[in-house]
Amino acid sequence: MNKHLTYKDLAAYLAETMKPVRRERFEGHIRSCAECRKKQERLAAAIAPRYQHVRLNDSIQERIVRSWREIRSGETPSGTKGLLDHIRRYPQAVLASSAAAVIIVIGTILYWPAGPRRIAMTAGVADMGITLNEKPLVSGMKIYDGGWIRVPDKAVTRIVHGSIASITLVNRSDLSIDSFVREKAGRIVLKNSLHDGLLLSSIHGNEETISYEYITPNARIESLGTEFLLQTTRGMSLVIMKKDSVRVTPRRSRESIVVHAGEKCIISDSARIIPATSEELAIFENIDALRKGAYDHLLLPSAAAAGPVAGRGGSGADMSGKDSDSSGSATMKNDGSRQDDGADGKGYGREEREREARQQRMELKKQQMNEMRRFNRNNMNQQMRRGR
Amino acid sequence: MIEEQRLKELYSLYGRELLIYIFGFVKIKETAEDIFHDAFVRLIRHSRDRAIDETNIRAFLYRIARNLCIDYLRKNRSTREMPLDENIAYNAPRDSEKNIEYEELRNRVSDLIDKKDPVSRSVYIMKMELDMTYGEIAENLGISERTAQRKMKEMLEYLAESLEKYGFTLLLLILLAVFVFKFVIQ
Repeated sequence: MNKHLTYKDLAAYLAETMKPVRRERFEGHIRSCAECRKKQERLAAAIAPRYQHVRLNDSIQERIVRSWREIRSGETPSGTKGLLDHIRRYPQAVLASSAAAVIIVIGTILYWPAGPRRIAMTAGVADMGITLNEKPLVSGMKIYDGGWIRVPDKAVTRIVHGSIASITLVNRSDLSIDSFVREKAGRIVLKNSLHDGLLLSSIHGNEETISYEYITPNARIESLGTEFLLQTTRGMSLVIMKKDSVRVTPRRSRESIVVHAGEKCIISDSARIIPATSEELAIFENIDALRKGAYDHLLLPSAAAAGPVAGRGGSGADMSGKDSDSSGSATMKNDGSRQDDGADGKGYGREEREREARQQRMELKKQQMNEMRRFNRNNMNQQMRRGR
Repeated sequence: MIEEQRLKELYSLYGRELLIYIFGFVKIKETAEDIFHDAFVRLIRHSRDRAIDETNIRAFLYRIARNLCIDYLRKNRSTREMPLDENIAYNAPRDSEKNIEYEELRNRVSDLIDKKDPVSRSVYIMKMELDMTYGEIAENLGISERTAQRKMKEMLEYLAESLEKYGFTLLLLILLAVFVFKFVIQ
C-alpha cells in the first residue's frame, strides 16, 4: 500500500468493516506514513465518544414510577371484567347513562321517521334498449321516484313493488315515477306520469294501504281498483278496465267519471265510456302478442304508426279543443275498432309532443292568471264602491 | 400491565444507553430527559393495552425513543434550541489546549451528523457512543446487520470527506487573513 489512504479506507477501518488482510496492510501503512497517520488520528479524535458523562439521576426514575402509578390508578380494563369493575365503581353514573340511552331509544322509535320515506320499485325482466334516466335498465335495478323509464319499440319491461304493484310497459312508452313513498302510517303513495305509450297496471290493496294515480297529458287516472290498461298518445288516452274501477278526470272538462270493470274509456277533452269487448279484455292475458302489434287495431293509433311528423296541424282534435270523434284525426268505433283518416298520416316526434304538453300547461296557467286578475279586479271595484 | 419491579429493572438495564441515544439526537439535557420519560410512559401505556414482547423490549424502547426524537426535531426545526451551559456537564472536560482544538472538531462532526437521516444517526450513536456490535444495532433498529455496517461506513466516509474540506477551507481562510494583514492593512 504505497499510495496514501483514501476516505473509504479510513471509514472502513474505523467502522471495523475491513477484512483482516486489508486491515493488516492498512495498519502497516499507517505506521510508515506520517501524513496518513495524522489524518487517521484526526478523524478518530473527531468521532470519539462525546456523551460518556451522561448519567441517570434518581429524579428521572421517580418521575417514571409516578407516571406508572398514575396510569395504573386511572386504567380502564377492557372486556366483561372491566365493565363489571366499572359498574361497581360508578353505579350512579352507569344508572344515569342507561336511563339516558333508554330515553333516546324510545324517542327515536316514537319520532322516527317524521315524514314519508322513499321506497323503490324493482325492474323485472327488461328487454334490450330500455333506459332508466338515460342509462340502460337492467333486471333487478331499483327505481325510485324521479326515475324516467323509456321503452323502445317491440320491447317490454315490468317494474314491481313486492306483490303490491306491478306495471308493465309495452312498446315505445315513456313513464316517469313522480312520487313513490311510504307514509308514516304505512300507506304507500304512488304517482306516475305516462307521457306516451302503453302500460298495464296491476295494483293490489285498498285505499287505506295504497293510493296511486297516473297522469297523462290530458287526464288524471286515480285508481280505485286493481287491473287496467292505460294508453296515451297524441293527446288522447285510453283506459280499458279489467278489474274493479278507476276515476278518470280529463284536464279540460274536469268532470270525473268512474270506469268500471269490463268498460273502456276514451279521453280527449272529455271522457267517454263504452263497453269493452272480450277481445280487448284478452289483451291482459297476452302481452307478447300486444308487443308484436296483434292488438294495434284495438288501441289508439300510436305516433310512430301514424308516420312522420308533418307539423303541429297533425295534433288533431286534442289541441284544437274539439272532441276526437269529431276532429277526424282518429275515430274510435263503439265496438273498439279503429278507423284512420287522412289526418293520421301526420305523426309526432317526442319533442313535438313535449312542446305541445308545455303549451297546454302554459295555456292552463294563463287561464288561471286571467281568472285571478278578474277576481282581483272585481274585489277592488267592490271595495272602491264601499269606500264611496 | 408491566410490573413496577420490571419497570425498574428495565430502567437500570437500558436507561443510561437510552438516555445517551436520545441525547445524541436532541443535545439538550432537559429535553433528552423529557423524551426519555415519555418513552417509558409510552411503554407503560402499551403494556396496559396489550402484552409486551419481552424478547424485543430493548428494540421497542429504542423505536419509541427514535420516533419521539424525530417528532421533537420536526416540531422544533425552526426554533432549534442551543445547548445551555448546564448541559456542558454532559460533555468531556476541556482541560488542555489540544482538547479545545479537538472539541472544535467534534462540534463540527456533531453538526455534520445532524444533517444525516435518523437511521444513520442511530447507527452512528449506537456504534460510537454505546459501543454496540453491528448485530445489536441491527436488532435494536430492525435493520439487517449488513445495512448497519453500510450505514456506518457511509457516515464515516462522509465525515472524513467533510472534515478534509473543512480543514482546507480553514487553511485558505488563515492564508487570506495573513494576506490581508500583510498587504492591505500595512
